[in-house]
Amino acid sequence: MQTYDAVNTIVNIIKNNIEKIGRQLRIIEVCGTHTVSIYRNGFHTLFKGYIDFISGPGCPVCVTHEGYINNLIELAKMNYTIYTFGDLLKVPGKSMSLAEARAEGAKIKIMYSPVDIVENISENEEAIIAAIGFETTVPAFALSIEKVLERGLKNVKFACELKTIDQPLKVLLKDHIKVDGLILPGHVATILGVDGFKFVEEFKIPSVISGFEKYDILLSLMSLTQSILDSDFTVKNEYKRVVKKEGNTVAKRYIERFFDRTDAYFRGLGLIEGGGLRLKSEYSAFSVQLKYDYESLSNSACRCADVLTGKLKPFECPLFEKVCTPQTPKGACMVSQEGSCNAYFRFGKWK
Amino acid sequence: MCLGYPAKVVEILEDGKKAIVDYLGLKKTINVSLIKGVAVGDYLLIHSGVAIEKIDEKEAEEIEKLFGEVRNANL
Ligand code: SF4
Repeated sequence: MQTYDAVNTIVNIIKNNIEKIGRQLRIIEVCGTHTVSIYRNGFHTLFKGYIDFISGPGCPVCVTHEGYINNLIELAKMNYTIYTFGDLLKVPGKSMSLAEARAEGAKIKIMYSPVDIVENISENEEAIIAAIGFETTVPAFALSIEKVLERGLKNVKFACELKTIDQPLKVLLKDHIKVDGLILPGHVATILGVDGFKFVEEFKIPSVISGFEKYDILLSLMSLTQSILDSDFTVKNEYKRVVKKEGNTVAKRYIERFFDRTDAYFRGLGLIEGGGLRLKSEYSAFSVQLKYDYESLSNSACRCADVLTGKLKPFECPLFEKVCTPQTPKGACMVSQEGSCNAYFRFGKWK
Repeated sequence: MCLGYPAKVVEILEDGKKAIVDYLGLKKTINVSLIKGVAVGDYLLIHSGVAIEKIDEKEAEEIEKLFGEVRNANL
């Protein structure tokens, strides 16, 4: 069958490339959706001994720290309605998660799209929108703020914990991790373009922008192993049907119109200079002031920080599967559907 | 939460700011203000209720041709 041949051929090319390189490769997939695709499709077993896959910090839920959750719960207690993406619900805060706060009567609602919320919200509901995400999601929040302005709403504010991908990636590659190649996040690249990842070339590590289907991952691994073999450090694009050189220029302009860079705290990486986005000062009326005590963060037994920086595999965490499961998560990496602990738990064929 | 999915435009609304898309038979109204010149029949990548890019059909077809039904292939 033609299909099967194509798959086999590509798998063989990848393995051949690695045999020529002569050692097992450490490859980091920055984005959680890639982690899921790799484990769901069994690529970690298919390439056992050839590729050691490491999960990076590109899952927005996983890098959101408990201080943000604590802030949202405080706001909910002040009688605001909190709108959040569903996967933030179970992330443990200091004393409880948003789901537990909701069980105690806090008004916490799940949103699918922030734009839909601001289009339909009544002027009487004092609402706070939990704005988390990387550049893929930031344009949706920009459109939401535009809508708030258009409608002249005074009752909607944003709790911004938005992240950028370049700064944390630089910190990770500089200080935390040694890898042979990078699988770059296809949906962030949709917005930023291939150009947005040019900075990776300075680190002299081969990289590829990848889609998320089974065949996307295979094509990307083929391209990446070839680049490693050739010591070719140009960012390759294997998601051409979506990602352009310059990205989505309209979306980028929206981001620039509403947001400025700010420092941001990443679970696993700490405070990163310019790692986040905040609303520009002219829109500060729509932004909630968040209070953080960074010192007190992340001193729990959860090892997410080590997982996100490639120091530990989820199953090496003493809590994994024993006390920490998707039903009783102890850390964000188990909560998020795109978290590596969660992916290992669900598709756990690693042994 | 970063999931994106491809969907086909079946109707354009409000001067091209919104569109109804079809995703596996499911109809949804989405915001298309980030996409220039959307037309019925286009495939879009949707994230959080917003279209973030148009999908290049020629490129998509190339991959389809190469892999056929690879989605169902058992590795
Ligand atoms: S298994 Fe649970 S406790 Fe351990 S690192 Fe993962 S999320 Fe944290």
